[in-house]
Amino acid sequence: MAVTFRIYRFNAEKDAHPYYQEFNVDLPAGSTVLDGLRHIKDTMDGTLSFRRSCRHGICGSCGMTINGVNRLACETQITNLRSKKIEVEPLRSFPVVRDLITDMTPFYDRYEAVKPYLIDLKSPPTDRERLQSPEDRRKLDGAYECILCGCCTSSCPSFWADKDFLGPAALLKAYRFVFDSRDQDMGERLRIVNDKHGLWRCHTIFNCVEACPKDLNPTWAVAELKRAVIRQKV
Amino acid sequence: MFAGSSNTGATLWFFQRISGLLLVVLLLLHFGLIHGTEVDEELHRVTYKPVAERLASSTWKTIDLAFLFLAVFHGLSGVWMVLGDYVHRTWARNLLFTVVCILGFVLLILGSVTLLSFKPIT
Amino acid sequence: MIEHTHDVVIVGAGIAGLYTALETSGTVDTAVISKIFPTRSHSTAAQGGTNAALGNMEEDRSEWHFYDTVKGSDYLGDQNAIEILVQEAVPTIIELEHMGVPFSRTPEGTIMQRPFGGHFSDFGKGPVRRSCMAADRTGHAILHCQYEQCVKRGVRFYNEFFVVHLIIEDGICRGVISIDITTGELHLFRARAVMFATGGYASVWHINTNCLANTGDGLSLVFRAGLPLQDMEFVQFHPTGLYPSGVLVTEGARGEGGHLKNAKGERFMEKYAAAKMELAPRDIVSRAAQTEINEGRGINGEARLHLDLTHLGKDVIMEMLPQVHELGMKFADMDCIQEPLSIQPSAHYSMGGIPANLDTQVLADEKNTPVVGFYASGECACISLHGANRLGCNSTLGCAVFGRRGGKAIVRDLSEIRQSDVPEEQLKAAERKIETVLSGTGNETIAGLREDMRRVMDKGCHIFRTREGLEKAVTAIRDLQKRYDNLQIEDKSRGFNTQLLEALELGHQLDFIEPIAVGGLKREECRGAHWRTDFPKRDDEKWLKHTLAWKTKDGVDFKYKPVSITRFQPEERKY
Ligand SMILES: Cc1cc2nc3c(=O)[nH]c(=O)nc-3n(C[C@H](O)[C@H](O)[C@H](O)COP(=O)(O)OP(=O)(O)OC[C@H]3O[C@@H](n4cnc5c(N)ncnc54)[C@H](O)[C@@H]3O)c2cc1C
Ligand code: FES
Repeated sequence: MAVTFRIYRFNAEKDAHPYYQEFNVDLPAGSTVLDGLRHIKDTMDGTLSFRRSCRHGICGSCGMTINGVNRLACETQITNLRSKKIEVEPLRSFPVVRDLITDMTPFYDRYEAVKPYLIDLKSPPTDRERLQSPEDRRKLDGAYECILCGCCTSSCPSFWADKDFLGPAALLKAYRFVFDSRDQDMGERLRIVNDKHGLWRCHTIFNCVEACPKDLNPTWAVAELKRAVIRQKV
Repeated sequence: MFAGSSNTGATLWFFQRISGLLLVVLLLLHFGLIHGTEVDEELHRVTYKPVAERLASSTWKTIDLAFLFLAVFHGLSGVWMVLGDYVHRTWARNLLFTVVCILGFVLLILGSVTLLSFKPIT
Repeated sequence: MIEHTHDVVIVGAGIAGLYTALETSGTVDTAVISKIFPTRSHSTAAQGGTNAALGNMEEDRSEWHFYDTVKGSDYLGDQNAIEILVQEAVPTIIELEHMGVPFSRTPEGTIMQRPFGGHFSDFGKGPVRRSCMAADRTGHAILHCQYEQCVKRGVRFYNEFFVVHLIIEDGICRGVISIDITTGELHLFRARAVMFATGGYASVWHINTNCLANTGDGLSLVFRAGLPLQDMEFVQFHPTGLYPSGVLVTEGARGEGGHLKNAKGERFMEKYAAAKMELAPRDIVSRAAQTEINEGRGINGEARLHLDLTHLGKDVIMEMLPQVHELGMKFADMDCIQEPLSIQPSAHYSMGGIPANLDTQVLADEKNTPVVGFYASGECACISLHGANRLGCNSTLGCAVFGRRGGKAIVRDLSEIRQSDVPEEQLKAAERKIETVLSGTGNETIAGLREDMRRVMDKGCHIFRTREGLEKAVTAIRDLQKRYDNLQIEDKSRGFNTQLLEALELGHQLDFIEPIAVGGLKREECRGAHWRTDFPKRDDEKWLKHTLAWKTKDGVDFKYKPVSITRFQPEERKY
């Protein structure tokens, strides 16, 4: 199939300003956007830079904005875009390092801010696993699967406006631990997210839900966290 | 920081939910009266008399005053949030925030004055 | 060159590397270097699970796990190492649960386990559920949890740093040299101990399940430093790579009851392993699948077969195999609840690697002399847990158990190792390596060479091998290595020069494929994943031994060393 890629280009060592470059390519049926980018890099312009690794939507390297929507390049089938023109841009609101590569440090910093690890104040049994009922375990479904691709946080208008906002990914991570029956420091984590740059900055816009390539629902998780905070107080 | 402290946004969020719920009740009541019981059966529209009679009572004045305050706060703090998300230039945002505040103030004064000073013509 | 000094430098942030970091970071100054952000390491792609004879579902014993692993390895696995693997499996899984891994749960609240190929109860008799699972995202669940614990403990990370050079002088490892990918600058890391956990090398075939970062860099750096690689000819092909891309459909799909079918709708495993059917070990199922395809019984005569899950029903699929469902929808436009998935054998796992002992110390020769201050674990290492064929879910286990052991060993050994000097020549060598690529002016391209390399490997070193095929492959590989000298790249920038990295990676790949082909040519027998149609029998008398390959000026030198056999004598391998 013949398609045209229109790609955001920027190399600070050479370019004063970012620009867009077009590539006409002919790809085999079933190609993904990542296949297209790799084809361009291999055969047309070796300087095109982007991150990728697993090529099946599990490592979270290849989040980018494709025809205006944040997605993983590796699992976006070109035919599903229903367009002969494919515009590819780096994830918005993160600083661009080069071409489609952004500096994800702000994203990782927010992840670390919510204490993204199990806190067990009592030590677990020494010779066996802690028990957790299947119902309690089910509460983690939809929360532990996050691949840290950044598609959600980068799509969030509240994050565009407030650079201190924790963003959906970090809040979903907080949810994953607050609602883990094995975690024993719910209070501490709720204290962190109960902030004007935390939970309350989320205005339920749902962009994150639409952007998430793993079909997770950070907005819902945020609502649950808000409820938990209020319940604690009321 | 904890919920209820003035700067987390939790209070505002909680107020938006509660005011939303109250507004639903008040709106239903409002529609029921204006488009139901206070409609003149022959003319098929609201007439001055039943409305004026109702507003003569201080209970109704209080209810309508609450309606006014809740609607203005709920609506404008919603607009405030939208501006906070979509207007990125600080000066523009501050300007629009000021406009929203003035607008809210004017609406409240205007509404309160109308309500409180209302005396039915007999 | 920017310099850093740490007690321990770990290269690789997969399950193996992070486990070592968790062990050492509390007591000694530790740094982890990874060319990609830790949670993007390939361990995150592991789907099916991790083995431990917890016996949560029915009776299970570590000695059964021991037997299965030895038999699965076609008796090439070192039994002293496998014994440790199975014994430490249970405490390691429990430790992982304590760290917070969100394992799936049984109604009693214990860790849920599922059956996998090659795992049986009572020394090869009945089926057993041994693989501890977090739905079909086990690797993701473990890796993220480990990284979370690293954040908790404040482990020092150098992310997006690409190691280009390993410094070994006089049998002592002194550190590594790495490119800071973001800036392009070279950094010297001095260390008293270096751990390599750089992952596997199966990406040199066209159809493979590996990530694009699995380029075996660590192996090549070791090989170039004058140390041997072990058992490189053993590479596992997984029977169920999704058609056409080759990405993995976990063996867990068969564990849950999926059937393999050919064009006639027959469950063809009846012909190859009547007793264990689809749950025979991978080498056997892959050969069966390839035979069906070669003999024209692929679907529509194409190089694909069916993996039928439809009879499992929506509930089982969505609860136990949600990722398989997602992969089918996204990469093959197939809903496995409604229709069978198309699959094909896909290069998957590298049994061979950097020889290491039970404490993960890297070994310099056939006498097992350790290199001071140098360790290796995970898929890049060959502690020979898997011998000639790995059993499903034993790999993440090996990474965890030996990553952990390695960490403990380093802490113990460190008191006896001092920081040593790094000779100037080593720094020059690293600089030269990069300059050579950047200044190349020939007419070869990365894509062209890579394509040819994969073609050579597909043709000569695939599931079925012959002398003729391997000989041709060896010649072709040497030719590719020469052509690499004529490589030219367009990108001359310093910052985020991914083309430079791809060129370096390709150079590494062209290094280590040579021992795969030559080792395979020498090994005239069939054992596990190494199948010579011209020598169709296992030959214990001649070949029950490990291959060690050294890089020399004009090719590869070989030596052999014995296999550790402690408890189970080799017998015929039937399923
Ligand atoms: C699709 C798939 C599914 C699998 N499923 C299972 C399963 O269900 N059960 C099971 O037991 N096993 C499974 N395996 C195998 C298992 O996942 C791997 O063997 C294991 O995860 C390897 O882990 P590792 O820690 O050795 O390396 P990896 O996780 O591959 O990590 C390698 C690390 O090394 C770093 N690195 C490499 N080169 C350099 C360099 N030059 N400079 C700096 N850093 C470098 C990388 O950045 C990365 O962090 C599966 C494998 C695949 C491909
Ligand atoms: S390459 Fe891993 S998510 Fe796309």
